[in-house]
Amino acid sequence: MNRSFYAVFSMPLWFLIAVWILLSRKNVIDDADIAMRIMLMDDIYKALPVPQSKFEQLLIEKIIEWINREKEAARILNSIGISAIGYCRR
Amino acid sequence: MKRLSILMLLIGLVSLSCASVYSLDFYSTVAGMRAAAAGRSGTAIYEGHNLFVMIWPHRGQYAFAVINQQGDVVDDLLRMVNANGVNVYRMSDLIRWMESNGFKQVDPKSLPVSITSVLLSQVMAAVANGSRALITPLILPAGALEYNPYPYVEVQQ
Repeated sequence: MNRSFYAVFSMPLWFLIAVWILLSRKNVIDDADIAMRIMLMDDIYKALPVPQSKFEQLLIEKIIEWINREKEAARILNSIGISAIGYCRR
Repeated sequence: MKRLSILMLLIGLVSLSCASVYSLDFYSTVAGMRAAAAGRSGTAIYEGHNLFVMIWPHRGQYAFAVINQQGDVVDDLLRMVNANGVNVYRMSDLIRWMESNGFKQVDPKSLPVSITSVLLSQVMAAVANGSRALITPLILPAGALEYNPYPYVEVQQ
């Protein structure tokens, strides 16, 4: 029962990462996009597999560290009142 | 399926490290805004319509952050940078557009204290350096450090 609920209400990891790569191609993101990215990071965090080897453990630890760091930075950006971030060519 | 997930994780990590796919994350935004608030070289702050636009160099490009909401002006700014029918492709075009629309360059000291204090605080420094040591509170009951579970027992010989 739990497994079927998981299958219905969550996305597989490869799909989430593909969405992440596609969404991150925008050169300007506003506050709605920031919220979307945080949600996507949460979903990726929940979809991470249990590591079976040393290499996978190292990889997943790095990803968890990165997600925690990004979420903390996003929280601070929110508290300042950021409306948008982006980049341009020189 | 699991191998595919690991492969996608690897692709994601590689793409994160490549500037062409994902060049601006929240962490580097925090670091860049700190540099701009501290008035480092190559950074600039523009003010207008109750908005602050912070600009800093980032991996061979220019990154920017818009602080404080003012409705339509932010939307215009974003539309300009996204180049949806408008010819803004470089930072010089954006600055020209901002200056013609009432924005002017200001000193970092003119930023509101609420923003400066957050950006240049110790906690922010910890986040910008990737450390969570200062954010994690450690609560101990009073006198816990004085408690000795192995009191000295005199051994009689």
